[in-house]
Amino acid sequence: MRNSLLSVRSALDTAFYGGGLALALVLFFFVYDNEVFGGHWVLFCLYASINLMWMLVIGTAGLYSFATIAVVGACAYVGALVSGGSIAGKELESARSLNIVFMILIAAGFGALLGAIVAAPTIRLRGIYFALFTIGLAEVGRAIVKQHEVLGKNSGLFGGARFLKADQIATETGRTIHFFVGLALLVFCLLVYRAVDGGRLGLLLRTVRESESVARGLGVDVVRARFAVFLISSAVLGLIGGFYSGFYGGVSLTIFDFNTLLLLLAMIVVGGLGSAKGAIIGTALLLFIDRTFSDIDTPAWRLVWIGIIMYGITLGTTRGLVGIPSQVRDYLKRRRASRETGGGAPAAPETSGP
Amino acid sequence: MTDLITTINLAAVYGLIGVGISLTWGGLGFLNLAHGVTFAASLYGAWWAQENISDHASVIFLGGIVVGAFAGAVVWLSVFLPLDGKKNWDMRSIIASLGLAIIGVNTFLLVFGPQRKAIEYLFGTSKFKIGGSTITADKSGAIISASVVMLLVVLALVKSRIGLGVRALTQNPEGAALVGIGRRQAAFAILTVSGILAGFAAVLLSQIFYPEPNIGYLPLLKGLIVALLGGLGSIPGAVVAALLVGATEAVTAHYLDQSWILLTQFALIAVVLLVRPRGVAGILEVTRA
Repeated sequence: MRNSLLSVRSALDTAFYGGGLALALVLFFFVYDNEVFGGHWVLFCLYASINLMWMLVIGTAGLYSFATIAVVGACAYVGALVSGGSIAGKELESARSLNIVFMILIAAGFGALLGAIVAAPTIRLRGIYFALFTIGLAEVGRAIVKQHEVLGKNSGLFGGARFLKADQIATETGRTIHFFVGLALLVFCLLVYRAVDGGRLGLLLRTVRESESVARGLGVDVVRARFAVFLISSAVLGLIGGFYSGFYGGVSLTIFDFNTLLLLLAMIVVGGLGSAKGAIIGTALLLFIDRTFSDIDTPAWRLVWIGIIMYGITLGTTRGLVGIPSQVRDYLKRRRASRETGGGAPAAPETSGP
Repeated sequence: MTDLITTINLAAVYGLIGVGISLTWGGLGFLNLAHGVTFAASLYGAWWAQENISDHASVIFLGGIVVGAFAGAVVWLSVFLPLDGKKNWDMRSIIASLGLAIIGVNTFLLVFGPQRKAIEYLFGTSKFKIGGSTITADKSGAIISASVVMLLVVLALVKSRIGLGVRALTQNPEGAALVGIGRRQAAFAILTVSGILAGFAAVLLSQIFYPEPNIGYLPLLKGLIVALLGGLGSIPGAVVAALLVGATEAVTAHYLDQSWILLTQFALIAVVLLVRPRGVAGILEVTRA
């Protein structure tokens, strides 16, 4: 029974990722033809990749870290800086000192360093204290950038290494390159997610998440497991920061926007915490709403709708959109049990507990 | 002397916001991220009362407080009631309150537009001197009234029956349930009182934080810092933390620059929490870990 359930789940996973890849290839034709759509695709790949890494920390490890955007932003700035970015791109091309591959690798390395710094308090801090400790890090990043001329202050840092040559920008070739680079980033992040979540580290982290004392009793090195997940996810977030800078040729203060953090959080919650599929579905759905409403006259409606969806899904589902099938199954099971006992068994509503 | 007055002024007002957040977490295990919107709603309430009823200080205060209490009741109705006792309550309540905050901020943007509104000086524009330092009526009024309100909250917690219930919930939720303390009534009291405190703080800060849609974010962050430093759930801890935060802010602004304030405050959090992981007081480790 258990084996057949696993094989069904595995078949569903294959169908989801196979279907997703096929859909992506269909979308390529839209990206190829349309600059705006091309921009949306890049944003989707970046956000989905960030969310996958965030999911490793918040879902698999159960650590409520909100340092995601701060790490991506800081690494994007480092990437833009080492590859010759300057205020408003004044020294475009001439000042370029590193090519894009090295720039991305340095950003990833800086990400790993930041990961170690953010992970350090987890030795002492737990739960909500850790969440609050990290929630303001994006603001700290913004404050640092605002005070340093070399980081472009309010104007941003542009003119760094990018994936496109100057004559490829806003062309079919440029959009094709961006499409496949974005897809490659997303697939890479999915592979990292699966390697960590489905591997030994994921198992250790889930054990720690469920009960730290039991995990310690079983001999799990809790500190090491937490450091590992932060190092891996932050290194990849740094890499994403490097890609961000590579896509846009630089970065500005808007990357530290608190609303972006909220939007990303909404995506993983709406999709379903603790699932790669949830991260991708949530990103696609909310980005669609975000982009649809950003084109109309009153863009505030966009966030109102996002808020309503976030609120509605949190109230209506226990684990976001991907959790709906299991919620329906549970409901049907309870109803069947209730019918079999002649209505005597409690058709228990959703309550806390194991 | 001027720095000391600024410190006490900021501490008094941040303390009100921090105590609201702290009480909500301590009593209900609910981190209310819609508290910033409550702050913004109160500012709009105070401004509306000033524009449509009277510009007398008492009317402006009343406008802010009533709207703050109403916003707290809305959080109770829309987040606490539907989710309390459900699976993943702690995470879902945070996200639902965040959703509510996003809806609130953007509704203000649609209704009132992005322009700032202005609120009159509540305690007049007079000044007086103590030991060579000039103190404005606004600052001294804020310090005195915030201290009185804080004292009233503490008295209500210690003396009233509902306060007893709230304290029982804070110290031992299971025990409180066993002796028949109504969680819903206590939650209503906590959230409306938090709303009132946020409303009061909003009006007191109305010369620094003008009514505009996104204005609640920074006070929320300051309130979280105070509540966190104090040890979530502890009122004495929140008061000490508010003083620490206010002092950091006043000293940073004086010796460095305004833009360094958040950096120094987070450095303060890092130091305090790494030494005492549950904040200044941290009395709730067992029940709310």
